[in-house]
This record gives sequence, structure tokens and C-alpha cells, in this order.
Amino acid sequence: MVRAVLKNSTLNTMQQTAGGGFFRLVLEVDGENILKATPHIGFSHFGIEKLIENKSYINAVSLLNQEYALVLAIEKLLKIKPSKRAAYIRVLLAELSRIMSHLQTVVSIAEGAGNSTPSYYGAAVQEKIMEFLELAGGSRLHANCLRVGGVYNDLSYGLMEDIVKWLKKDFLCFLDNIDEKLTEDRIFKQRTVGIGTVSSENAIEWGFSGANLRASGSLWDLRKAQPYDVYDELDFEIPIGKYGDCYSRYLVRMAEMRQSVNIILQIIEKIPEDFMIILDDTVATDNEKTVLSHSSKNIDEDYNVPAGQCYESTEAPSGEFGAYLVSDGSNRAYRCKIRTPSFAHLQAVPHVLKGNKIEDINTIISSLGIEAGEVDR
Amino acid sequence: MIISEIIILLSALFAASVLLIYVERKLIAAVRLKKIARVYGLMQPIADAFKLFFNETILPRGKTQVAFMLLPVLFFTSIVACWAVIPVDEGVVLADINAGALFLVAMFFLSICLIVVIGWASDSKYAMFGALHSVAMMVAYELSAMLAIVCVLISSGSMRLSDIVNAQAEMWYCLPHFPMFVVFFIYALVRTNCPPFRMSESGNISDGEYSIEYTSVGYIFIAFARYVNMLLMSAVITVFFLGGWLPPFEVELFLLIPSVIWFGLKMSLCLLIFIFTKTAFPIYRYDNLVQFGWKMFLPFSLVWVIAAAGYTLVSATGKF
Amino acid sequence: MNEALVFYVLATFSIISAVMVVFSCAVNSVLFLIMVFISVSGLFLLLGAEFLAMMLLIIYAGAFAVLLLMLPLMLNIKETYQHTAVKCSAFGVTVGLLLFSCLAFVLKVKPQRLENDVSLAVANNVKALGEVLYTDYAYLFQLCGMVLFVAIVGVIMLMIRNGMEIKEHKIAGQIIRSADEIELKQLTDGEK
Repeated sequence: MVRAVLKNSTLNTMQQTAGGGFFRLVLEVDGENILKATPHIGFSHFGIEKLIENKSYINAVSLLNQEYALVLAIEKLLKIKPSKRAAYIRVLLAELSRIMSHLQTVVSIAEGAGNSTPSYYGAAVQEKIMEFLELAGGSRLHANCLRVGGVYNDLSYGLMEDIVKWLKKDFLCFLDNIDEKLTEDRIFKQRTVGIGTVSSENAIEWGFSGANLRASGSLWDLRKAQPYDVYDELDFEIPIGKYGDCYSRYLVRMAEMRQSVNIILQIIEKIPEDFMIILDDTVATDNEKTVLSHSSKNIDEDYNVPAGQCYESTEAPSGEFGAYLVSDGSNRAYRCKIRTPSFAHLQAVPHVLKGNKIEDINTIISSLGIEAGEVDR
Repeated sequence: MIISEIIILLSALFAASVLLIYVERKLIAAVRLKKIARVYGLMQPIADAFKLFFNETILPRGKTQVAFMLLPVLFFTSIVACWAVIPVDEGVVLADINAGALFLVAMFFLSICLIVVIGWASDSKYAMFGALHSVAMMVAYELSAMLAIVCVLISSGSMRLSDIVNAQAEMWYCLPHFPMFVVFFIYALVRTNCPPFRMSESGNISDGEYSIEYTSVGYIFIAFARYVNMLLMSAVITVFFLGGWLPPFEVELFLLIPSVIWFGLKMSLCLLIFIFTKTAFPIYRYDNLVQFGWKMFLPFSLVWVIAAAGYTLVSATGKF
Repeated sequence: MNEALVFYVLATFSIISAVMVVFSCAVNSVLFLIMVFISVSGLFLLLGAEFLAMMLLIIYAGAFAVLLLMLPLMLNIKETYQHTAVKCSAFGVTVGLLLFSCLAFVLKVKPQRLENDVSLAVANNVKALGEVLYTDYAYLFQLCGMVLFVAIVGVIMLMIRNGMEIKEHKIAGQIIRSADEIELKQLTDGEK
């Protein structure tokens, strides 16, 4: 029997990720169905690794959760540890920005499914979190408050009370609202359930980590598996999804936001009163020997890091964020390699998109939490 | 004279759609917690219009250029033409022709046809994809919507729109034909590009719209046609299902209000629902939507037409 | 006088567009075909056959032309189309002549019958047409429906293509999912 012979067409699209970055996606489509998808990256490459290698350790900063791994790595090379209070503050800020990141992902899944109203509400919530980060670190988006050996400064007076009040009153209410309007929405389910499914085995093979891996059903969380700073003192649970589709990834992120709230509330109860930020510029084997890092002497004069190499990873909102540092004993890194989760997630995109519909691209890519800026570094 | 009537109609449509644009923005802003620009946001549409007028006109190369320039005007005309047969009040209509309902249907089909041609004339894959999407969706619901109109025609026994309105003096057709009312309403949502039945606005170029290649005046025509279309669909729903200019009950107080106001009120109710669905729902995926149209609405509408015809026959002749 | 003018304008327009249908490229010829339909429906309106005019617009200009448009757009027929049109011109002329003679025959032999069937004097020509269609020509009408139905099935058969990896979703299965699927677990020491 004669079948209609139709040519597959190739579409060249610019895919915008939730945070505003771009990558190019070349699609081979048959009508609505994607036969082949090829991502092309490099549009927002700014060579952060080389920048770090050419700057003294003290100047290498980035977004909070991303900075975290680097700071931990340098601390490991220096063999120092932050004071308890500083470590608690770090975790507090990291969890706040985790909430911010997950929120962005969740609303962009909704936007990919065609409802952009939640993103306006999400933006209001994010604005509030950014306000907190600004109070803590002095700048809004790039909460510039992690330092090697501690944090920039103590939290300003009354900030923790404000955070608790806001979390308990407004934020949980907002999450419930989203749950009510979006999670149980029939159309939203039709747009996300069974879309972009990644099985547990495939997820491990493709190097997934973080919420995407947990959505596929693997029990893995760096905060629990290799606790850094004070995560081992905090009591929280790991949300595990079942099916590894967009809906599972969405649900895991929603649950993780609630867990983050839980963590922050615990921190605020447990945080010790003494404020001490340490940066040992002599030989820091003894972590009780402390110097305030905001003393201008240490900022002006860089510190040398003993020769050696190390890899430290943190549980960033989108997955395992690792920093590999080689030090030659000077005040700059000899080699810096940054492992970003989005890069690993992006390599799965051709496989995940295959066989899905064009309209689901947005939902799938935003549910994987891929950020073009993070991929390109 | 007919010319002056046409001018009045066009200016009324212009005023109504400008008002609609303004109200839509205000409502969506209210739902989405957006801040509104100064002077109650009144300057925003004007600024937008200015911006569009002074945009650079970008034309596709090749032989589709003439069609590309002409089509927005034709598209606009095919939608405005429908307004010629819509009676706003007893006798207030440009042309109260016998086959008014059919004329509406014909123009609906013609505008669909024009969307495909717009996609072709844009000479771009994205516009073509958008056009095919829109057309496939509209066609999927078009047939059931036409059957809904057929039900109304069977009940009213006439194709003249003013007769249809007058036939609803006892009961609006949205009550006896409630399922068909729903079907037609969803068709109106599809046609006016309201979620959950339309392309997403999420900035993905691969599921863009058919008007993606248009800038400047061409875009103004298409955008304006959309708003006129929203007005048109609400007017059509009012005429077919909500009793046109008739008040809901024959109460003295209601009769005091001019019937044009009743018509306007019913239209605004429909428009409000259109606008709120725009903000409230995610969007069905294209294939779900088309399946819904062909597999559920069409058979159901067919059954309903037969039932309506049977009921009318039995009640007219008094025997089975 | 006015009507005559409109008639001549529409008639010229339709003939010119009909000629252009044959002598233009694929998509343009479909567009000209739509123009033919629109002008012919104008002619019908002049005759007072509103129903026929609108049906011509709905069925041909609306539905049929959309399908015809899809063909050249989807199959990428470009210049070859015109070429074949010229090659098959003998066939086309024959079919055209045959159709024309059929029409002439009907008009010449049975004008009386036509007069009786579709009386244009009836104000509501929908009613007139309906009475003829559903009584005298009921079986033919049903047969037309069957032919169209077969055509629909045929089209679906043509378009079903196997061997493609397309993910299917059952709507019921999608809706049944809820937030309950998320399990909250503690990482035990053994798993660390």
C-alpha cells in the first residue's frame, strides 16, 4: 500500500531557559513529534574557570550556591573550618537560595505548560527572598556573603525573626496556594505526567544529580550522603519521586521547598549566639585560632593556599555542584574545574525530547532545571 | 445610507476593541499582581499603538510579498464582515439577511482558510507551524460548533438572526441546549485564542503563532482582528444562546433598561469569562485538544442534533 | 441596471480567476480557486439562492480549499505541478467537455423537473432544498455521506505511519497521579 511520503522538517530554535540564558536547539520534527533534538551550547560562555584561575582566591565569587563548593574546596586546601555560627548562616542562606531556585523552576514548568500567572506570584516571593539575601550579604541577586572561612558578616539584627515570620506566614501559604491551583490541576497533569520520563537507571547513566535524580526514584542527597558544614546536625528528609517525569520533578521540588523551610526553622532554633568568622592566614590546622575575615588586612593582602588538590561538591538546587582545585602554593588556583549539574542534565535532553511533542519542549527543559548560563560556565 | 451605517459600525467596533484591550490589560494585571502604569494605565495602549505604527515593516523576500501585505486586511475584513448580520437590537442591524446564521458560518470558515494562507505567505517555518496548529485546532471544534448552531436553528426554525433572538423570548437556548452552549463556548475560546485552548505564550519560538512574521501595520491588523473576533464571538454567543437583546425576565424594571444595554451586558459577561480563562488555566497540549474535539465533542453534538430534531418534530406533529 | 452591473463584474471576475487557476503555481492556483468560489457565491446571491451561496462558501472556500492548500504546502509541489497540468491538458479538456455536455443535457432535457424541484420563488430556499433532498433524493444523499465517510477513513489510513517512536499518554492515567507519590525518606547509614 502506498503511504504518504512526507519530508521531516528541521527547525532551528532558540531555547530560552528559566533564568534567561539561551541555547540553540535544532529539531528534526515530523509534524508535531520530535524525531531528533540537538542542543548547541556556548552562547553564554564566559570562562568562569579561567577567570578564577587568573584571580586571587578572594576575588572568585559567583552565585551563592555555586560559590559554596568553591569556598568549601579552598577551605579544605587551607584545612580550616568556619565557626559554628558562620556555618549555620551559610546553610541558612544556601537553603533560602535553594527555595528561590526551586521556585523559579516550578513556575517555569507552569509557564511551559502555558500558565504564566504563577510566575508573577513566584516573582513576588523571589523578590522577598532577595531582600533577605541583600540584608545578609549586601547585594540582591548575587548574595555576596560567603567567604573562605566563614561569611561576610553576621546577620543583621532581627533578620532571622523576619525570615521565620515570613516563612511561616506567607511562604507556606503561597506553597499551599500553588499546590491547590497547579498540582491538582487536570490540565497541568495532562501537560506534565508521563512527559519527559527518565528512568532511574538512565538517570544514573547520564550523570543526573539533585532533584532530577531523586524524581526518578534514587535516594541520593549530598547534604545527607557527605554532609558539609552543619547539615549533619539538621534533621530533614529527602523527598523521592517515583516515575521520573516532569510531574515527579515538579513534586520533588515542591516537597524540597517545604523541607528547606523545615531546615531554616531548625537553624534558627539551633544557631549559637557567639559570632566568629575565621580565616586563618598562618597555618590553619587548629580551627579555634581565628581571625575576623572582615578585618581589612586580610582582604587587601591575599592569602596563599598550600599546594595540593581537592574536589568538593555541594548539593546545589539543580544537582551536584562540584569544584576541583589544584593549588601550587600561590594566591591563585593553578587549575580550577567546575562541575555543573545542568551540563550533565543537558546531555540527556536529546534522549528525553525524542518522541515527545514540540509543545512539551519548554516543560521538559524547565523541569530538568537546565540553565544555559550554568551549562556554558 | 448604507455607507454611513458601515462607518458607524466600524467606529463602534474600533471604540469597543480599544476599550476591550484596556479592560483586558487591567484585569490581567489585577490577577497577576502587576503594577499598572501611570494615569490608570491609559497611556499604555496609545504608546503601544505608536510603537507599532513606527516599527519597521519587514517583508519576506520572494513571490509571496503581495499576499503577505494583503492578507492581514483580508483577515480583518473576514471578521468584521460577520458584524454586518449581527442584530444588536430589534431592527438595529446592517443587513438582516435570511441566511444570517449561514453567513456567519461561511465567514468563520473563510477566516480559517485565510490563516493557512497567512502562514504560507509569511514564508517561514514557524509561522507555517503556528498556522497549521491554529487551523487544526479550529477545524476540530468548528464542526461541533456548527452542529450547535444547527440545534439552535432547528429550535428556532429560522436562519435570520433577529428571528432566532425573538424565538428566545420564552426561554434562552442556553438552557434547553446547555451542552451545545458549552460546546459553542469552548469553540469561542479556541477561536479567540484563550487558554486552555490555544498556543502557549511561553516565548518558545517553535510553537509560535501564525502572525509571528508580521510587524508594524500588518501586525496591527491581525491583533485588531483578534479583538474584534473576541467581541464577535461574544456577540454570537449572545445572539444564539443568551437571548440577544431580550431581558432575562419580563419584569417592568428590566423592560425599562434599553435592550441595547442588555445586549452589551451579556457580551461583557462572555468577554469577562474569556479574559479570566486567559489568566487562570494552563494550556492543553495540541494533540489532546484535537482529540477532545474530534472524539468527544463531534459524536456528542451529532447525537444532540438528532435528539433536538426528534424533539422538535414530535412536539410539532404530536406523534412519534 | 445595478444588478446587471454586479452580475457582469462578478462573472468576469470568476472567469478570469478560473483561467488563472490553470495558469499559476500551486498555492496561487488554490487562492484563485477560492476567488472563483467567492464570486460564484456572489452570483448565487444575485439569483436569490442564499443557501447555495453560503454553502459554496462554507464547503468549498472554507473546508475544501483548506485541504487543497495543505497539499502543495505539505508535499512541496512547486514547478512540477504546472508541468503536469500542461501535460494532462488533453485529459482535462476532455473531462471539462464531458461535464459541460452533461450540464447542457440536463438543462435542455429536464428544465421542467428542475423548476418543480427547486422553486426559487419560495422565500425560504433552505426549506425548498431540504424538501427535495430528504424526499426525492434521500438515498443519493445518504450515498454521498457514505462516500465522504470512506474518504475520511482512507485519509486516516494514509496518514497512519508505523515505526515511529511516539510517546502515548493515557489521560485517565495522567489525572490519577497526585502529590501523594512523593515519599519522604531518611538516608540510612548503610546507604551513605
